[in-house]
Amino acid sequence: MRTDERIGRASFLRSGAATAAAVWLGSTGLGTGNTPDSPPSVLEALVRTVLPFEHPRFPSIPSSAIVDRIDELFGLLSSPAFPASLAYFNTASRPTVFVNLDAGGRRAYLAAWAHDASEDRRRFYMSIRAVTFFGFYSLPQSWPAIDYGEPILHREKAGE
Amino acid sequence: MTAVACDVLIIGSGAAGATLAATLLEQAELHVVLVEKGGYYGAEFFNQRELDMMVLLADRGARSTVDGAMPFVGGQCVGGGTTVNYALSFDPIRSVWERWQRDYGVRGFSFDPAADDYGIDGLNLASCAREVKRRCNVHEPRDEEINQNNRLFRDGCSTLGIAARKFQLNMRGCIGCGFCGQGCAYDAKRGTMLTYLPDALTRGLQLIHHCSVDTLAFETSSGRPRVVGASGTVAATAPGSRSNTVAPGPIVFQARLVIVSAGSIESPALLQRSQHPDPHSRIGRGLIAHPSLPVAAVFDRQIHGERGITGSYYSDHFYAQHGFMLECLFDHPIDAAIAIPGFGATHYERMLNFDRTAGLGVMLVDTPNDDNRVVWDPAAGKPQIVYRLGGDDKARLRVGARKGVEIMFAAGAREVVLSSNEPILPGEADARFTNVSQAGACDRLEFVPNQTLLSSAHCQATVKMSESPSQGVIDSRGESHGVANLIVCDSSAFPTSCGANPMISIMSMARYQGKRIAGERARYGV
Repeated sequence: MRTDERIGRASFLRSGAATAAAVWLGSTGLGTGNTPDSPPSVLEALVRTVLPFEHPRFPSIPSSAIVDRIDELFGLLSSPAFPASLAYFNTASRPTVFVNLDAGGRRAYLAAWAHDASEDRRRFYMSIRAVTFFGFYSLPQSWPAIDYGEPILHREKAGE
Repeated sequence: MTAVACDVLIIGSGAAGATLAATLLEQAELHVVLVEKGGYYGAEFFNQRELDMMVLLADRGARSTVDGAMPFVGGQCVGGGTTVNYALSFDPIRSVWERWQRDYGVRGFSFDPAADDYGIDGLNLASCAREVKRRCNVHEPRDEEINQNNRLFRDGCSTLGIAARKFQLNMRGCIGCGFCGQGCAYDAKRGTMLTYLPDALTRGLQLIHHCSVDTLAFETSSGRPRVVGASGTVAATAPGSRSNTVAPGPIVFQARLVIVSAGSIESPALLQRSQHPDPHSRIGRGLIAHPSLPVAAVFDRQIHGERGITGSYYSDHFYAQHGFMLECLFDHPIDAAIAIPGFGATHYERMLNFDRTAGLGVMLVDTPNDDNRVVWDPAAGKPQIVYRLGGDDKARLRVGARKGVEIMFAAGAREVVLSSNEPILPGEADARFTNVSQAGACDRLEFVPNQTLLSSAHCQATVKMSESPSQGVIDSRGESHGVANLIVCDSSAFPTSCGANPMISIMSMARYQGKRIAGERARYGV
């Protein structure tokens, strides 16, 4: 019997290469911001910037599902510092908060953080990107579009 | 509280620990206990999913430098790194060991297969390496086993007149599924879990997994400290792991000889939190990382680098002059997505080329630097890894990046990216090359932390071996300069880089030390 048949996913989903990023995101406050936008809405706006949901070949997965998965994997939204970091990220784009920027504005703002002189900002960019990719590319629904050969064990079990 | 008394306690079941255990038990009747921090997972557990198999890694894949810029990947399960690596096997490099003899006063480890080091019949490194390679079925893959990714690498090197060689691999009956890094589901990869560990278990080894050793126990009444055991905690057996030999809870070991083989991060951390004497501030210092830069390239045809033997070819063409190797490797989607630069549609377009993407890694043999170190952090309850690339190392890695780009274009790539969003080319947000004439832009790479992603999977040299206590923590026997009956034997014992992927060098050293210890049992009262 294989792992995925007998082990509850919750036992394993809080793990992975992006965990370092998640640990940092969850424990290090970049700063604080005062924003009426809820942390999940800011995270969803970030996810929608990191992943191109409008792309014609992007699988039909709602961005809220990726947000839920990231939270399921890493528990970020309930961590002490991450909501504050999100609020800071959201408001540091003054005068318009990140969630109110159009898609191009969001991309430009995130790209600016990627190249910022502040190591914390660059780390925030790398980390949010890592946890988003982790949440998305661990989903089998993401694999057909990229023609990933995917695990072969389940095929063997099915007698293929 | 569980109490265990034994002749020899070995901490860590990876390349060194399991090999030591088997060798000791093959040579002498001893009660040997081997403890492992991770779980005991076998082929029945390995499901080829990147996400699930992170449980095999230290900190579940989260181990990285304190600045978060460089992941330090390492196995934390029975078999250690040999369970999760790509089976790349390099012989111990004679020139490196000779340099250690010269610069660190290291004795023994003869490369003469007729030598009897320490007066022990047949003890030499050459014989030990030969035995290890035979036990692990180290061999070159056949031409028909080479996947398309590796063929492109070989052809690109050939076009440029760069020598490329086949890796030696510790495999038997590989079916080319492409999931070496997630644990071999077919028992084809001959790591210690399938070789030396069963050998040792057959001869009476007690294996305790899920066991964190908190501290070594030193007895100081006779003046010089002497190790007399260790204490720790056995965690509940995780789902999917094989059963344990002791119950969860606190555990205390009493041992005549303690061998630390927990790897280059955990071994120095254990010594530090045990208050091991360190008069010259050597423990944890001079960390070697073999920082590696991924190079990815898009071709006009399907490659499917995730299938087949992951690594079959490498080049050491630039090793003598620049100290780096080019190794043909590939990642599955999560790690690939993280390594490929960018975000949004740009990144996704790159991922849509996943099946037509080739990969290689530039692996730098880095220069020892005392500022690069492992420090036990009692507040965090884990070791902190401090690592920054030095100026000379950056210069050499730039050459490696440039050669990697050139090889990809020579193989027919239409686009090459480095794992970097440093804007080294005009009009490009990241390190993206569309023709070979741009390769010189690699000279502008600064390897800015959290802007260029380097990773490490070969940490070494944090409990250095030297006959001089001012240079090393242990001597050539692996014996601590400060504590009697304490031996360190793993990659941390190397004075500097062993010069290549370290598995066989570690196993050969462990085989050697196992035979030596068995031949000098009286020295340890066992």
